Amino acid sequence: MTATAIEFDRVAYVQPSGVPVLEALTLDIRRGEVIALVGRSGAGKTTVLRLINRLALPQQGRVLVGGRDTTEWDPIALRRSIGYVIQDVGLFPHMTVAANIGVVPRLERWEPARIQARVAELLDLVGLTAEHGERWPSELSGGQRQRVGVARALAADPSVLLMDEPFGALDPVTRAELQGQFRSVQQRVGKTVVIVTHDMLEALALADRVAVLDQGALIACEPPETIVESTNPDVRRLLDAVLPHIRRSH
Amino acid sequence: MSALLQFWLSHRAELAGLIGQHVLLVGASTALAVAIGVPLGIFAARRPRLSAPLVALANLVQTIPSLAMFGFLLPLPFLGGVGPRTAVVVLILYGLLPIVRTTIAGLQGIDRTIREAGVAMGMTGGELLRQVELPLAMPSIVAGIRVAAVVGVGSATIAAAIGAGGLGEYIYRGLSMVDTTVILAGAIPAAALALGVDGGLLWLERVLVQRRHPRRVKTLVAVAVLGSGVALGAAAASVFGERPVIVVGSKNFTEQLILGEIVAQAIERETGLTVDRRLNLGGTLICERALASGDIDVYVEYTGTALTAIFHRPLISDSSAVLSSVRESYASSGRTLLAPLGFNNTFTILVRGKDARASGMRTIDDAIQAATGWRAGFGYEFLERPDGFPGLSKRYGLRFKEPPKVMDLTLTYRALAAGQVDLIAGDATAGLIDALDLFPLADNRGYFPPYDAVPVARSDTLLRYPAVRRALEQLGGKISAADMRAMNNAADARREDPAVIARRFLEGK
Repeated sequence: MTATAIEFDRVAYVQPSGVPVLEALTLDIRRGEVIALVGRSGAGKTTVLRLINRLALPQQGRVLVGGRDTTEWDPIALRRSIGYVIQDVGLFPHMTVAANIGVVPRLERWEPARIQARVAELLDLVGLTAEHGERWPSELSGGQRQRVGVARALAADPSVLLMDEPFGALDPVTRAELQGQFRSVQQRVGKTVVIVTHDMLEALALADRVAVLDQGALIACEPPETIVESTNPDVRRLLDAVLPHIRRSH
Repeated sequence: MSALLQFWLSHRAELAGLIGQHVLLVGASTALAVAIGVPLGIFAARRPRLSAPLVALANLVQTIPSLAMFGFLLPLPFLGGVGPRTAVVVLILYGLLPIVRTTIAGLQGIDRTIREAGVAMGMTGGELLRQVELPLAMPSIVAGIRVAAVVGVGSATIAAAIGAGGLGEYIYRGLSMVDTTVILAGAIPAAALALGVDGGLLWLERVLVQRRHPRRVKTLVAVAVLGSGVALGAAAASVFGERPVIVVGSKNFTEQLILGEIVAQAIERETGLTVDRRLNLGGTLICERALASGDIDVYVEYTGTALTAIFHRPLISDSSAVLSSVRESYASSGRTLLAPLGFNNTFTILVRGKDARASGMRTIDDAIQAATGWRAGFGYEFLERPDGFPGLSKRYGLRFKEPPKVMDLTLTYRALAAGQVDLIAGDATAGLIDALDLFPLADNRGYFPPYDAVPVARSDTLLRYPAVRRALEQLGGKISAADMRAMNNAADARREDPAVIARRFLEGK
């Protein structure tokens, strides 16, 4: 077992339309750490996630997951071993909450009883009740849907969890509540988590390390306490936008 | 209304059978259209460059009038022919468009995020299709199936024209007998069926949109799939199953229905073979193609019609020359013209019976003198046809008091009887001639081309069953124009069943 869960080795990615997104990205993500990718819209954050579970392949360089190049992975097996909380959640509207959470276990052909037990466990983990499991996604609040999205991603107990703006569309109170819950869940499950956010404050609150992307390049990757002291002007600009909050929290 | 109820009551077994055939036709064709259309739609939805031309093609198919479509398909070796098989093929072609289109629309309308979620969770293409895309597109697909089924119920009525059965039988029978009750007897259940199918599938669509009670819907879908499977099996069995030994056809007007019954019953009596009736086929060309392809074995044709409409020769007036020309043409294409039945269903010049008796008129020549003081009334067709009025007036030198009146052919008989006109041209075997006491003047100068009624049969059938040939030859010369007029009158004016009329005729001989 190496200490590195995911490794980006001089990765370049250009969109099919010809727009360059990443240039020579090199980044090691350690097993069990929470890393937040921060940057402005279009900085290439979501692309980093898509490269990890082979929704996209790099034109140059290599992406290694569990020590293996993603091009060598069977894409289906790779994706099932990685939990993905996608932007806007993307719950299946024709399945109940419980059925949504059980999707990957069903794909993996678990016994129905085992799936049922797992769904109950996950509903409890994300702070929902068994009754919520019977509902349709359209009958949940935004915050509840986000929790279901997290539960669904965790269902088959993946070692890696990718989260794309998981708390993006929520009101501040719900967001703070979910962030708190995320930390307590993470303490229990200890996954390798890559979380994408445009909100520096959220990154500082949740992550062990904060990686700042700007125009396809990694300009900083430090623990929160180091990053707040950064003198890099681009990092500074992101920090200054939320600085009053940081001062208040000190 | 009470006449309609009475008709249904007295024909309840037949009605149930026709409704069953109708449901089977629509069920089987819709199930097959789904089996073809949904995969086609899935295929096209993933290739946008393909979906536009595909939908355009399906659109084009749907603009072909259904009668024309039957015409195109009849001569084809496997898909065509007379009977339910061709009808199912036509109904499938019509059902494809709405199903393909709504399948494409349903799949393309799925939120990208949701599809992406499926892929990101490690679904294979097939898993994504079965678990996410198809369930989400299902309400849209069911809407397409609903349109296809409702259109199918309507189009299936036309299938009766090619002998596929169904409620169209009553509609065609009513049209040929000019009997509104019989038309309604078929049209009302067909409309009710369409409404029922529409309502049932609309309900299913709503349930699917609401996504409630998934288990009940699953059961329902399972039942529907099972049901259409059974319908499909039954249809396949009826389409490919053992065919009765001899198939008798006929065109779709009263005289042909009676002649079809006479031929069918004569074969049954003489040979003891099973006879299947494909009566009421929609016209000369459909009968001809059915005979050529072996879907029917025998029907009654008229020599003049065979000469011009089937063999495209110019019309001649010598009846034995026409007969031998047509017999030769049939023989060279594997068909045998049997003995003429004895009557000639040509145009005939009619006057009132009492006028004829008063002046002793028997022929057209006898009427030339008096005609200068008469008014004539003709159907539009007779005024225009080269073998109609222009030639007639030239051949006999007929002149009237004023130019002939143009009116609907069936109205001319009543106009003559009522004294509004004094001379008309009618069909030699029209039942109204006797009913209204009209007198046919003999064509003593042999002007009118012959339309002798003659059974025509497939030569291979006659070789295999010599008894059939005997039965048909025995009918030769047995039916006079007066016999035919009386039988037409029994069917048209007294509403008797052609099968009963035929039985009475054969027993009387």
